[in-house]
Amino acid sequence: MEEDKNKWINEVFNSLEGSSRATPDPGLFDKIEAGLATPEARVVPLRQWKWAAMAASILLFLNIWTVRQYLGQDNFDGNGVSMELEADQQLISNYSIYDI
Amino acid sequence: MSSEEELIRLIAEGNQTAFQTLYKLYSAKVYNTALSYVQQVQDAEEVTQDVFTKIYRSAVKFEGRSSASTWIYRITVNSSLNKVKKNKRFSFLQFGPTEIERPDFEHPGVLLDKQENAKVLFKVIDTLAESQKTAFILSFVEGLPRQEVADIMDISLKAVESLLQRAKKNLQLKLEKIYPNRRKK
Repeated sequence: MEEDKNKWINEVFNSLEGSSRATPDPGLFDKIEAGLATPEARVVPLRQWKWAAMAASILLFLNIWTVRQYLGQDNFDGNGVSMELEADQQLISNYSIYDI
Repeated sequence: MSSEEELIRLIAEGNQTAFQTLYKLYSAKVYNTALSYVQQVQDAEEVTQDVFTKIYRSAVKFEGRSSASTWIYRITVNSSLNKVKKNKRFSFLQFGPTEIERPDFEHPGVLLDKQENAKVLFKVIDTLAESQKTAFILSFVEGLPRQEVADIMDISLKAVESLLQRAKKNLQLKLEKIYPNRRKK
């Protein structure tokens, strides 16, 4: 059994002995020449796409972060009342424009 | 400068006859190497086309630091490995027949009485790691001298020997696993 197995493995290893090189289709050279006549397509390397995607993600993150900062801290107090609105009201009452 | 390097110099100048001569000299070597990697006639022809297109377009960049043969084999190995990777990515995305269902590869140059065993050999070669596969194909399928294999792979002679040893060991283990199934057939 073991002997048979080793014999078979050796036969598999030696199966390429005496073999000849395979040759391509005779028309392949014409195909290559025809391909060379057409202008080379510009290939954008995948690395460039990766950098572009990374830059776009960073920009998106910064945008979201800025909007959240703007909405969350600058314009609203803890009760959700617009600080801008509050400031306007203070200005109006200080100048008392409707008081005669 | 050897005649092959001279041919590449002429190709760089746009000489079509030189390109045709180089094709006659190397097309079978390129095709046969590619066929051992991709194990499909159509894909091997695509790789051959790709290799000769690269040779034509990059002939100007050939500096003669390596021999023409080493340079051409290096392009062939890289193009073949790229094709194998592309095919794997494609079969991963496909819902149709997978690689497992791919029919066994019949090398057209193998003697008829050794065809069945050669099928098994190519099947297990396909499972090897890239560097082991390259060392094995260039040494045992293409029959190149070890030093040329080392030059093509840009590694030392010792590293080639080590890769071949590991490749043979891995192939032996895989064949041992296949043997019982083969007997059932």
